[in-house]
Amino acid sequence: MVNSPRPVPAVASKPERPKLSAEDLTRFEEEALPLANALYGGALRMTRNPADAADLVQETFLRAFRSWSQFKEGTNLKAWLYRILTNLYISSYRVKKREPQLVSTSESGDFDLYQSLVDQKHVAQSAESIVIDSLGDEDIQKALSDLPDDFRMAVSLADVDGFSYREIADMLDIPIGTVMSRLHRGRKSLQKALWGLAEQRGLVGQGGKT
Amino acid sequence: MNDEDHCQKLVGSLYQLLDGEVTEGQVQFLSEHLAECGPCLERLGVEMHFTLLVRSRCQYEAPCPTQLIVNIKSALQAEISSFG
Repeated sequence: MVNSPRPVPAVASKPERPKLSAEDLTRFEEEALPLANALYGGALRMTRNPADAADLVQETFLRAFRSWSQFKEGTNLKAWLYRILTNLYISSYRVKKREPQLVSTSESGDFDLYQSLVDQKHVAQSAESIVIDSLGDEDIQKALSDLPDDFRMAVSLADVDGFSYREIADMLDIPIGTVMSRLHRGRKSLQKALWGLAEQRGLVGQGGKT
Repeated sequence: MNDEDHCQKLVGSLYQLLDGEVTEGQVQFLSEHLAECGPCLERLGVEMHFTLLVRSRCQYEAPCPTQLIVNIKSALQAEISSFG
């Protein structure tokens, strides 16, 4: 399967900007700004670089403020902000950096963590240990950040940020089915990478099938 | 459907189950299957464990740098000032 280049989604356009008052600013600062930490964490996971993350977050807040009148009270503000963040990241940042687009087929879609544990006779009665636990935080963060972009975004948004399929589909402007397949393959790739690392470190036997 | 098909079906919707994205009909089928299939239950446990592991190890809510907050606030301020 070949991935055709994905059309770049339009960045939230601002045809006629409503006038924003000092009261709007106060409300925005009270409601949206406390989410800066969460957004910055997400931006770091996307850009993998503090300076770019800072730029991305600042631009996100600026755009969010300009579209503040479009935010519907009572809906998920964090998801709304993330949508702006991911849009910006995909449409400007990623394009600018010319990051290679995800090349689809990786055999890691077939990696089976459970079966690998069984083969190692390592299946814990209650799955209390899955070998990978013994790896350090940095190993796991690096493996996540080394995933192809589309996988990394899906896994990050679902597993780390806890968004639903629907929310992720909206953020990335892709169908839910695509969210599911990226998430599936992303998780499998991550498991495969971490299992490989565990093998290198001698945490599991390297014997047998690869 | 034989047992193997049931297992296949579980594997196919494992992540949806884990993510709380299954329909009521699916939930019923899957929970019935899980009640009687040890390996599938273990598999679910492993995947759940993995997902939670990723979440807990990667959730670095690195505090937003103070300077960034300052910059954002002044950019926002400039935004309302520009309307005069």
